[in-house]
Amino acid sequence: MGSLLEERFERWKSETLAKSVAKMPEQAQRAVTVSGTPVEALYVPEQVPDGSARDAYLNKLGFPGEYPFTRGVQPTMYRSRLWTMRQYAGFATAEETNERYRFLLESGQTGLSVAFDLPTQIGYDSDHPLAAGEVGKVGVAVDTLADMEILFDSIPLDKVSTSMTINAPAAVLLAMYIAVGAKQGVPADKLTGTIQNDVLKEYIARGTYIFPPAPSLRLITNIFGYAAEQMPLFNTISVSGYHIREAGSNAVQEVGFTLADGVAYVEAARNAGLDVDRFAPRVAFFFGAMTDVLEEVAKFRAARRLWARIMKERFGAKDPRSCMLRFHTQTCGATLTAQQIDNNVVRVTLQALSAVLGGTQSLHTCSRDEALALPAEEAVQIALRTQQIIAHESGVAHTVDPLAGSYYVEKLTDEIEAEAEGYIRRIDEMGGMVPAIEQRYPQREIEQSAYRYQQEIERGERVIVGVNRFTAEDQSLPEILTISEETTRRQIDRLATVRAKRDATAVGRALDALETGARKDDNLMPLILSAVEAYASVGEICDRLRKVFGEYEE
Amino acid sequence: MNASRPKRILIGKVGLDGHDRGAKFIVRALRNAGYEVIYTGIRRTPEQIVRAAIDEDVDAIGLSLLSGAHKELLSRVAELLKGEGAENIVLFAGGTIPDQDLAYLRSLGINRVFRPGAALSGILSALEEALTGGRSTGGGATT
Amino acid sequence: MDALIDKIRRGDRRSLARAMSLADKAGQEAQALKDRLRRSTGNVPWWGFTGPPGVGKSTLIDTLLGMLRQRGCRVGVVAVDPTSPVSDGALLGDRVRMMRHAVDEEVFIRSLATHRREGGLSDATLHCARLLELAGYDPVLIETVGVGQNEVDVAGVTDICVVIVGAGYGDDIQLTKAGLLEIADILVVNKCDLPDANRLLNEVREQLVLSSSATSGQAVYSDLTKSPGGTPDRKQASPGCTPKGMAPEVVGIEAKSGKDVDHLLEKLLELDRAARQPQQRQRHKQTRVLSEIRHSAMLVCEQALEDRLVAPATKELIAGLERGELSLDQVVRELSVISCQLSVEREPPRSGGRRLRTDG
Repeated sequence: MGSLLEERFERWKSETLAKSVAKMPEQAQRAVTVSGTPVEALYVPEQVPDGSARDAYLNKLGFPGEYPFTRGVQPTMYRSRLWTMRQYAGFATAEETNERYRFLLESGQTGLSVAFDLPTQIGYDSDHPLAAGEVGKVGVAVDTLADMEILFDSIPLDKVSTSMTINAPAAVLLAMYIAVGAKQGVPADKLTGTIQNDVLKEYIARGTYIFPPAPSLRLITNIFGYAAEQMPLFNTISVSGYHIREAGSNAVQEVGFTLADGVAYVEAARNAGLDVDRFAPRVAFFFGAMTDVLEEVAKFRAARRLWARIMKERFGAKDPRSCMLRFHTQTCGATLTAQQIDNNVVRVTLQALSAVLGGTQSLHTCSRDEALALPAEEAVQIALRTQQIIAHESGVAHTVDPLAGSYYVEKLTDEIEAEAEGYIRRIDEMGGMVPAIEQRYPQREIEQSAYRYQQEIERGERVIVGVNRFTAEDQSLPEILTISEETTRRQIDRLATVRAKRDATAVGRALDALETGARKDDNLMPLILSAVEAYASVGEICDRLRKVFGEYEE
Repeated sequence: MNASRPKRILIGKVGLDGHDRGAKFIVRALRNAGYEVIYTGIRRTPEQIVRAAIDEDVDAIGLSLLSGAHKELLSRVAELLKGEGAENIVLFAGGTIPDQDLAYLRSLGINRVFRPGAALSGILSALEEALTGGRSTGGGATT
Repeated sequence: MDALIDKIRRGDRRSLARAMSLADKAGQEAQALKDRLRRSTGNVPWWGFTGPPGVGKSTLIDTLLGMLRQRGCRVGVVAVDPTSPVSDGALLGDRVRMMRHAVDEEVFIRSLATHRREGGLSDATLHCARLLELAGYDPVLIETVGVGQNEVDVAGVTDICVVIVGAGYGDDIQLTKAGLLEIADILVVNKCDLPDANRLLNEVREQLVLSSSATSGQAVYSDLTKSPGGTPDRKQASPGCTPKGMAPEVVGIEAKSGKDVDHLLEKLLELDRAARQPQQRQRHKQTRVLSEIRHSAMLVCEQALEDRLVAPATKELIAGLERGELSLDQVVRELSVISCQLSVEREPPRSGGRRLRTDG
């Protein structure tokens, strides 16, 4: 080992690692292989010639928990704490979803991930004409704080971290979460979790936008500003590549467009007068995991390194935590097939493995039946078990960044980083992500990739087992979850009851104050919080904002 | 010169779900197969879809739904088409639609439902058959 | 036919939509419809919108639709997209940006494909616009994509031609050089919120000064007599219209937010008022008919030429050319004469047919 590398390795052990272990001890369970060989926390090159090769190692890879974080954001990674097993769930009304959450927590899940239905995500109440047929379908319906109280009934918010997939109306649902916490006696500064709050990718890939880009970015920076003061443990954004990938991008585009979105948010917050190191440590990411295991591992590593460089070199971040790309992963739902659905369990296993080998902080594994419907309970359990098997049986969690040093993986990492950086540069040249979206640049790139990928499948150049090779007559399908029309009725009834019981004057006053604040430059979070505490609904709050901000049209 | 102009197909997404990868793929594939394709984009109401279909005088409407709201939304589209006396327009659907709903969709006149993994060749031949007045095989879902 | 026309006049959308499909076909029935339309329309100004893909034409039309609706206008839109040269199919995606008007009874939007034919305005565009007028839509907006002969032709038959360029596109200036500047009554620079918008505005203004001095008085497209009062006619000094040598107005807007589109609309309405003068109406009717004749005649001639090229007699000409006994000029002249004769034999003679052949 080159002496400088050795020296740095020793320093990492005595400083970074020691500090981390003191705070978060490595698990009692012995890290040994099945043959009994002890497994070290970290392996580094045994022989690195002096000079450029050694410098390249230190600059490009370094040590976990240290800039540029290629090998991971924590020094011990899963030896101290496994990733958070967080299954995205939500359906029907708050009662049914609360029951599913408790089932998942009892099954060993370690965090919650709330799926809201589409009306909630687009800021319509359940009785809105456009909500017809959609209430409780892809997630849980939440109209007012009353629903949120039921959703987290008997779930202690000081112990469980909650991720919420909510974007355009993120401020409203975050306010409701704060209000529920307060009712449980948990102050905002003890709440942990994440809101997705990433509206740019809604324009690019996912479609659940409400307002135009400028006011959307303002809402996001309002949340950044509010949380920096009031909820230091909460991740205020989860910049999402997942939906970009699901829309058909390749791995390079996923990294490029997602980090370009991240750049746009950091710039917006800086322009709003926030100091980078005040909010950047609470910026999280969210990626997809496909079945091409090694490319995915390289992708996660490349994203970490590139983001660290952007934060340091472009934004002058001083706090190392600002440079850490922490991410959630979900296995890619679009890879699931309606044919031979049990094969999906295997796909999900490979995808989940790539996320773990790539150093994810939390993980959702898709259920085998999701090409057909919302997952049934049995299917969800298999998906969770998949994570548990990887965590406890596979041995890949014993050491940090186990694929580092693979010629192939390192080369792919370099290439993905360079090409993704090229995309970011291109977007910078267009004036940033918002103008790029308006010119449909990322959308077009993604559409082309998606078309190419699908054509490869159609032509049989890309084999999808059970679809274009090794096909079989379809077996009978397992029972799937359906949402009854009764759900909509119950939800609308509850909304009506809340509306009848609440203090209408207080609601009106809070909404007026919100509208006034929206027309001015106020931080809207406290105003939204007052409105939800008065039991104003998601739709009512968003309507006031629509009045001021207008609506985005594709 | 255009004694037989290309058939016109409207592709759209009805309801609130914004996942348009499948719809956009079909749009391109149909264009490349020689159809004139009118794309409506995401988050459309049944009323918008039917009005556009009438004004554009299309031969078929293909709707993509992944949110599980297919029964409500497709029945509304079928009802509106009937109200316009436009049942001759072929209506087909794609997305996450389970077996148990196929009979209901058939009762609305939707005999062609394409689910994740459906081969493009199958979709194209089913459409061609429907548009050239051929009888549907009545096989229900083509997956 | 009269029953159909009646239904359209009474506002039956399905009849209107079906008539548009009919107008997009060949055949006797279609011909009868077109002949009928020609005599029943011509009083409504057509506003043309053209510019490169992605520049925001549909978004601008969407915004204008909203404003025109507020003023109580019933508006018709014909949106033209190119046909794929490979498959004959087409992706007609302009509607995506106008869907909020889809359920408005007082708006009718129709998407059309150019079809394969190069070098000519899609015949159907003209007739769809006429059908919209027949159904009481006023004004009629026509959107065409890209640059090229198609757009120039559209500019020829529209009363007002709006050319749109956008900030954020590196190749705008190239596009303006490609002939769009010469056909514009109004030049719109979209996306003026982008940083390089001012630069583009200035460059477009400079280009206009240059090009107006270069082409003033020249007949660029001889059959394109255009431009209502108050705007320059840079194509030809046609009877009854005095070229004023003015450059088109340059207007910077932000189509998506609607910023300054009201200003643009005022300009458009001003031109629209001028275009409604009887003298202008007469001139535009003639322009459109001339364009139709040219279009139809060229199709006939072309087809005749194609037929002629594969005829046995042509083999001798080809052989003669190969042997060096004939010059290319001679062969072409021979073929041209024959094909024109053929075309006249095939179709009843129409006024202008022969003349048109010679000015090509």
